[in-house]
Amino acid sequence: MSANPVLAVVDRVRMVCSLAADIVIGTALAPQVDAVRARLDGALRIAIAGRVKAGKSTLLNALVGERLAPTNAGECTKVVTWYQYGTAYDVTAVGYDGRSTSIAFRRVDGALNFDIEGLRLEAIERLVVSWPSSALRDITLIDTPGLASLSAENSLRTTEFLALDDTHPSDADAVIYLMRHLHRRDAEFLGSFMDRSVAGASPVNAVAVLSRADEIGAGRLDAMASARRISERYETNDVVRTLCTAVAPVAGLIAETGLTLREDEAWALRRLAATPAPVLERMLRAADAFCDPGASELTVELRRQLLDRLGVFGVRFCVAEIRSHESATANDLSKALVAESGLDALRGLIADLFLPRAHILKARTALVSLRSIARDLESSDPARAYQLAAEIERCEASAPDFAELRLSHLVMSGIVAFNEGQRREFSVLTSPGTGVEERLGDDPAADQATLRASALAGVERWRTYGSAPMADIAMREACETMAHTYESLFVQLHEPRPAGI
Amino acid sequence: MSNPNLAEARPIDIAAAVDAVIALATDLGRADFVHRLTVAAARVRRPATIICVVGEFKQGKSSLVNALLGQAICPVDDDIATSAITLLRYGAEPHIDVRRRVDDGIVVEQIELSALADWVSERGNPDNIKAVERVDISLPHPLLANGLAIVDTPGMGGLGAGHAAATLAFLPFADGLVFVTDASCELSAPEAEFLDRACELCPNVLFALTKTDLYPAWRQIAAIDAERLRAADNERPILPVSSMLYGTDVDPGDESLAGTSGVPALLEALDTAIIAPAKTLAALRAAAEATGILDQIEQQLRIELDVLVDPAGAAEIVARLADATAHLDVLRGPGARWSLLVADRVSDLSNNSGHQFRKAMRLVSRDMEDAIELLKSPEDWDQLARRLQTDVAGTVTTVFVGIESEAQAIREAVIDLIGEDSVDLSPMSARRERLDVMSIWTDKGVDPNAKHRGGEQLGSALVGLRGAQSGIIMFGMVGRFLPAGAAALMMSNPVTVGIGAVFAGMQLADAHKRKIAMRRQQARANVRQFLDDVQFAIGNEIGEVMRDVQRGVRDEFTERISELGRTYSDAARQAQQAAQQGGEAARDRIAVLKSTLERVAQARRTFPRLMPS
Ligand SMILES: Nc1nc2c(ncn2[C@@H]2O[C@H](COP(=O)(O)OP(=O)(O)OP(=O)(O)O)[C@@H](O)[C@H]2O)c(=O)[nH]1
Ligand SMILES: Nc1nc2c(ncn2[C@@H]2O[C@H](COP(=O)(O)OP(=O)(O)O)[C@@H](O)[C@H]2O)c(=O)[nH]1
Ligand SMILES: [Mg+2]
Ligand SMILES: [Mg+2]
Repeated sequence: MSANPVLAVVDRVRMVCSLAADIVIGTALAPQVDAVRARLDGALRIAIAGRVKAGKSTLLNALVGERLAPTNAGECTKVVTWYQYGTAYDVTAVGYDGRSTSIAFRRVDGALNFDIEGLRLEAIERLVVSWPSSALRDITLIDTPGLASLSAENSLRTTEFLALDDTHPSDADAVIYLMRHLHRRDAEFLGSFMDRSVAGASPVNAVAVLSRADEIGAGRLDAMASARRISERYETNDVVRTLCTAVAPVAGLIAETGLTLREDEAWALRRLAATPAPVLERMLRAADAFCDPGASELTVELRRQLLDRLGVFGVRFCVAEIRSHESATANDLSKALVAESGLDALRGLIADLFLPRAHILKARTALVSLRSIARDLESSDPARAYQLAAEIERCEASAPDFAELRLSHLVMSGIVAFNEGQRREFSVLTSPGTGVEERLGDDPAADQATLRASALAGVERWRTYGSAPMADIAMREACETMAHTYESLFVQLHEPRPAGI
Repeated sequence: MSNPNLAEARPIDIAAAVDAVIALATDLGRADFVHRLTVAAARVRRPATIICVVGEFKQGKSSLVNALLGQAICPVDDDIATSAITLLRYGAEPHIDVRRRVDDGIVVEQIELSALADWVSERGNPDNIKAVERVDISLPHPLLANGLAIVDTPGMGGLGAGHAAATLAFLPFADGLVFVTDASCELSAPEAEFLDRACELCPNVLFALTKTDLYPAWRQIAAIDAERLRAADNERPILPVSSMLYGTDVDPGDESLAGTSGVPALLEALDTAIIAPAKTLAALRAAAEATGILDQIEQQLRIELDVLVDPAGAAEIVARLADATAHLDVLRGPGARWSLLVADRVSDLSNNSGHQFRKAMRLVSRDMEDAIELLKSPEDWDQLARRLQTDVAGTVTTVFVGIESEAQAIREAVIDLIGEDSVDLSPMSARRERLDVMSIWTDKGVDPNAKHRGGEQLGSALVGLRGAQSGIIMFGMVGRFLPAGAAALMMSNPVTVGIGAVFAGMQLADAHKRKIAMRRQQARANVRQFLDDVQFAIGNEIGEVMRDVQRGVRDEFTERISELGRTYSDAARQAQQAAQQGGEAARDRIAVLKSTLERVAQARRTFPRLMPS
């Protein structure tokens, strides 16, 4: 795609930024434009959203591979918190007035404990944690307070942040939405988030996670299999398909602990596994029974900690693991826990769906921000506001990437009803990060002539679909974009290919 | 005379006392009394009480029902499980009926327990495509033998949604509610809202915090929830339970684990909060019936005794009895004033209810049409669909509540009318207390529980509804609004199925005008279809309930009048016999009568005084 002779989309948006910067120079809007520009060069921002206690902070930690975000059984995350890459450890509070205040912090059992006592919570727009973690190089993770939280204020913060009303641009480029089970509210929320963006409502930048997956099967050893079955069902559900691309079951706690398991914990688990079978069986029946003072030589305190770190399922899993593999080291257990947790599948989704599209997703959110700036400008300088808005329009219309994104949106959200074959062709053609041969659905060894023929046939085919009398406007647009995409592949095939591809 | 004291009335004693009266009536050959009292005694032992188990989906409702029964009856699954309302109640033999809506009627089919999952679970009956309205399970279970009927409901997706409203609408008819939420996290906002509303509508709401075996932090969660309840001024005990540790799959050897399950405490709470009060109420009713019957028996015995002691008065007494019997014959006849009153008022009620219902539905319909014109986004539609459900559910409840309370009013009016017609009906000689005809209508004025039941907002109108026939009918209605586990797939109601899809993914603001108009048209059509369906179904139900009301009132009064008639005619016959007796035989008979009267007096002493004399 980048071989496209026209300017890369990011550069186009950058040009719009320059125009905007010239227009707003010296005004209060100037810093906002700077922020938009900076954002284009920054990491992809992925928000982690979902209901209260869905396990958002825990999952964030798992993705970072470190216990950073504080987690608790009671409501805990109160402010939108950004975790971004930085060379130094630093926490800053950004107020609604735009002012930043440096925040002192401690680490309690690894988790950050922010000292925001002196600040008014309502005045803080977000906390920004800068951390030198390699996991944060390409993505910035944003932790949000729960939706449908009992404290209405916290929910409000999340909805505000995710810009559920039309007037505000969203701060996130993509979202990982956590749901315990697919709940009506979850779906509503997903839908609303999708609604605002350049391309309109869109599943192109969202994946869903069936969270706390170990609990779904009541903590039984086969719990994750159960969770996989359920997320597969969701994934094939038409409504869910219109809201997000994929649904992955993840046990965040298992992943988090797997990635941070200590030797002493592994030791304790091995001792535990050596408990006589009938006693052990009884202990593993229930959390309270597990902490029964007389049941084990391990201190109750230690057992509580194990439960905290692993949950009932995690403890059961580790014991089974140790029993079947005799000498399990912390390293062995770590690997087994992470593998069981389903985290890899989520990482795969981020790598396959978000990262290859990072530039266009960022460009898209940047345009929304610029549009909002144009709106703000309207009252003071209508003429320039109009000029800016027109430029934004032009930029959006001329970038094929946007057209493709919009196509994805139309198809995936179900506005355009492709048949099964068309849909398959669409996903092959537009799958990010794959080579021309694969996109054309041809053998990787196919020669140029075959490929060109395929591309041309594609153009023909989609023109025909598009001119069918039944096709409505959206369908015609979608078919046109498909045809265009084949066309651009055809053009690429004419050019000598750079070496190495 | 003071009102009966609830605390003093012990259902067990009263049941035994009623048994004594049954024995007496048997000895006297009064099969009619025996029948009535047997029913009343059975009701004391097994008062019909309905308890609904509700909560968001997957909170462990079905597991809890199974744990309460100690038997794996309701299907449980990791994925959405329950898709239809399941009613479990007592039966001497295990028996399952599936009630299904086919075309315009209800089809009842008997099934095996092993096939239950094919009908009530999401797996066997996804989205309730089999249109199961309700599954009735009868079990010979000791818990159910107490009169408890337990209702397992499909989980609600988002308690703010329409089916939550429908469930709330049903609550006036339930005796109690077990609200289920698991210990994985604190109450969500929709859960908390639902709970608040439910507590207003139903006096007995038990709060079960489930899955305590799985969540080490359950105590913390319980504390947070308790705090929330306190803040909402809705304090109540939180009952932590683990269904896993109790019941079906617990190994019987480990008593101590089952003991920590919290299930026994929940059973006890059910007993004190719901079963015991229901038994007390039934006991008071039974006591009133039995006392009324004792009055009649006593009068009959005394008349005979009078004649034996003073044969000269026999002629006058027999004449008066003949008068009274004739009067009763008139009362029993089709032309009796009360009979006409029942016919008139029931037909008025029928017209009014139908009219009111249609009017309310028209309002709903108009309101919807207006709102559809203003639809901007698919989310708007969702909200609208929910409002539609809520409104319809509310309308339906209002109608049935109205019918129930009017039926009660009709009964009372009949009692008054008969009282008026019978002022000089007493066959008694001047020396005796008059037999109070009114005492044969035991129910009037016997609602000792009035102040304990019914939410404040609903006032006294609902008193007596619980356990009423229409309660069961409401299940059917709720069954149709409670669209099963479909919630999970967001097709949470018959309306969204049609229209949510119409609007899905569509940004109305952007789309083509013509297309929007088309979709609005479609939406309107779907709404109308839904309202028509409801109207038709409810219209039929109203008709049926009305016939039941009329038949019920008529049968009841005719029966009582017949009983009294029989008492008079027996008395007359015995008085005539007595007048011809003398000497030895008379003395023997007097002794028998005296000892029987002693039995009556003894029996009477075992009942609390119920009515002002
Ligand atoms: N550990 C544990 N798991 C439980 C307990 N109760 C229920 N579960 C599990 O929770 C899941 C849901 O249980 P159900 O009883 O089907 O829940 P439900 O509320 O009836 O679900 P729906 O009918 O689908 O709304 C199942 O996987 C059960 O095994 C409990 O006390 N402890
Ligand atoms: N068993 C289990 N517990 C989890 C998992 N993820 C989170 N939790 C627990 O759920 C609670 C809430 O988690 P948290 O991440 O703070 O949720 P948030 O409010 O969405 O940020 C904590 O007690 C976590 O330990 C999981 O995958 N499995
Ligand atoms: Mg959190
Ligand atoms: Mg269930």
